[in-house]
Amino acid sequence: MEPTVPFASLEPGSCVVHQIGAAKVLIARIGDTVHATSAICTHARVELAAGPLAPGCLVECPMHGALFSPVDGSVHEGPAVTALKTYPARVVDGVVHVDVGEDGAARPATPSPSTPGARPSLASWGRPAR
Amino acid sequence: MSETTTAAELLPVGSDDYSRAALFLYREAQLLDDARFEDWLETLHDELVYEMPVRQSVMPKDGTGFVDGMTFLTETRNSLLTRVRRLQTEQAWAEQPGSRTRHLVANVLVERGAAEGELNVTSAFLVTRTRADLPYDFFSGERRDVLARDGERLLLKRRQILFDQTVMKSYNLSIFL
Amino acid sequence: MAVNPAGLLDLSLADGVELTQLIDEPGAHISRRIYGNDEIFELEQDRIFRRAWNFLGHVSELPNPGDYVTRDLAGEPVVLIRGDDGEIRAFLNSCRHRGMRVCRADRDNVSYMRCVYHGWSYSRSGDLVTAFAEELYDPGRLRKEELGLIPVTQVAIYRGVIFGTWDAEAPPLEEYLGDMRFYLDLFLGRTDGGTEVVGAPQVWDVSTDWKFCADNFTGDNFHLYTAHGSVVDLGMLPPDPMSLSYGYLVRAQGGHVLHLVPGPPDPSFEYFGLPRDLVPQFERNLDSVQLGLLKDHAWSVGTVFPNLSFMQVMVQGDIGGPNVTFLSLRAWMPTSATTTRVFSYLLLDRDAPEQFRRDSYEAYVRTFGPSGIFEQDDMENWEDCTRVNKGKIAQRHGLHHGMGLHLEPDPSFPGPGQAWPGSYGERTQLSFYGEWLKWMTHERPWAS
Repeated sequence: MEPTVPFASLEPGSCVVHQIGAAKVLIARIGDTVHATSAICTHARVELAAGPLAPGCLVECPMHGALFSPVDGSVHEGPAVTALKTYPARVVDGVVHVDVGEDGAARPATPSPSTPGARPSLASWGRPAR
Repeated sequence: MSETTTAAELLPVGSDDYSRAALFLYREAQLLDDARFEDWLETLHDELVYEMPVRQSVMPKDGTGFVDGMTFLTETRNSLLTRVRRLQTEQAWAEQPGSRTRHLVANVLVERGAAEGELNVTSAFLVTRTRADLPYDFFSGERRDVLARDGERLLLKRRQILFDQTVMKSYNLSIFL
Repeated sequence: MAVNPAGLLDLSLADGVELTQLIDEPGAHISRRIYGNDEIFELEQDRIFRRAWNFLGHVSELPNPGDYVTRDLAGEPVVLIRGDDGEIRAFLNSCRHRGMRVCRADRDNVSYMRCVYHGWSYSRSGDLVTAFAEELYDPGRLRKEELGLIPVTQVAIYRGVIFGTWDAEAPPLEEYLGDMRFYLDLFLGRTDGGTEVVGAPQVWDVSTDWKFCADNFTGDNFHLYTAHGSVVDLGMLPPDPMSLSYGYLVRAQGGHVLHLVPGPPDPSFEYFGLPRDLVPQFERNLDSVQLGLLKDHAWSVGTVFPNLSFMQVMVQGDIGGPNVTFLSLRAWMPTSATTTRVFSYLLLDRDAPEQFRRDSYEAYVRTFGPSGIFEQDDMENWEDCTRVNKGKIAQRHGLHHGMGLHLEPDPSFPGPGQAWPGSYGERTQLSFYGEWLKWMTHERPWAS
């Protein structure tokens, strides 16, 4: 578990984005509990924004408006279809600790779209052609 | 007529009440186009409520954009009488020389109203206006009317004019819709 | 803008005529060339509308964080939005990427202002939050902190009315309004809760030069008995054509003008016919001079230079109906040399009683706005004047603006500015056109 931000710095009903190694983590406080998910929208891979949570204690992607639950990462409204990955989080000595596991390690560069000859994965395409 | 009206509740085209309602609208169009406003007043119910809400351009989640509390027209029989009397003065400059209008009424749907003898009638309208050598103005929208039976005839008891424009592209509304 | 040493802008029009030849304020002649003319229109946009404080909206249109309304400022789209901090801000409604409008409805409530073209998204405070595929920019290229929406250069609120200007040099709004604040307070600052917009504005397009609308609302009371003769014939205005000629024409400051017209000596005409229940609030919120003016008058129409007008008038909405007062704000937005988009608002004091709200609303809709039994005839005049004055022969002859010029300002008038006795006259129109010329020709029109 990595220490992140002081619990007291988090307003109830708000979230912050924190970097742990290679991982961008969204830390949300709902009441007196903290939750951690990936801070990268699963739709357009846009970084989610810190600030007050949207009505219903949801995280709203700034770009296309996808709504996620910071509790379990689930999608409440499109256009995203894949849930945010969640991470274990707890408060230790007044500091929010998050375990991002292997996601914190520097990963081999994913094939960039600008790599000559690179192609999208079938998974990202969503379905095979008929 | 409301969004919950089912097709089965609509009176058949050609049925007695449908024909009466359609005839009312066609004759009304003729009275207005012929500037027979005095005769038109005779078709208005004493308790008439006649409104044309202002509309805004809004996202679909916010509905049709009709503004709660502001209208282009908010009339009673007496205020429409006032407008007709105004046109009969010799100083109603906006209509002297007069507009030439064509009230086209279509898509007439009729159902029985809430009270005995009343009919709820919706229709689409397209009103053209030209005046002097000016180009045409177009007014289009939906009318939601309540027609009430008065002896053998029908009277207009309620009219809601659901206008299609948010910015009225006409310099004035000196005609009746 | 080219400026000569005397602080004057380039005065010459394309054909060599100088702007100063167009307005003869002392001689009370106005050239017809100022109307419906494309070159003048472009100069007005540059020298008046991109420099002056313009009306943008009313705070009651944006009650909650995230509420926006879209408007125009000097012919360009702007969005007014209330931030999470409660502040109302105004921005050029244009994405920094390709220029698309980021707010496309007339009104909405949004968490972000999102460009629907490539997805750039801005916070309620106008900051660029995210661009699409940011990882595909080389590091440091996409400086988001420099790519927020372009703010309207200055935004300020006076008594609930939101103004903006594109000019960083413009003086503060309160200074720009100057003595006009004293008079605006009679209408906007008289009650504890202030005013609110009823519903939304009526908006319609008129084929007129905007100046005819503003001119008419400088306090032209003597058009009533001709232009609105039909209403006189109906017995809805007093029969004597001089009955509305009393009171004052007031030049508060610069081109900010109004008239104040008393009713007959009857309590029903006091306080503009406003509900009696509100009088204790008037007494609390106005000084004794303002209170006296409010009590003694029944009609007032005026214009805040350049194109914001107001009216508080008592009218009958229909034959036999009650005489009821209403307060309306008007923004005359020029859309071309010959076209104007009119925004007409009904305002009510938040504390006004329910029956009055209903009566005032009905009186307003039935008499003003595009269907109003008064106003439908105004457009007839403004459109015709705009068309005819474009004629080259017509333009050889100026327009006469000479009524009441022999009268001196009344030194006993208690309010600020100059007040000429009697409300039939053309002092306020001439003041408006004099101000227009100053803005069209001076580098610093607000000075002096």
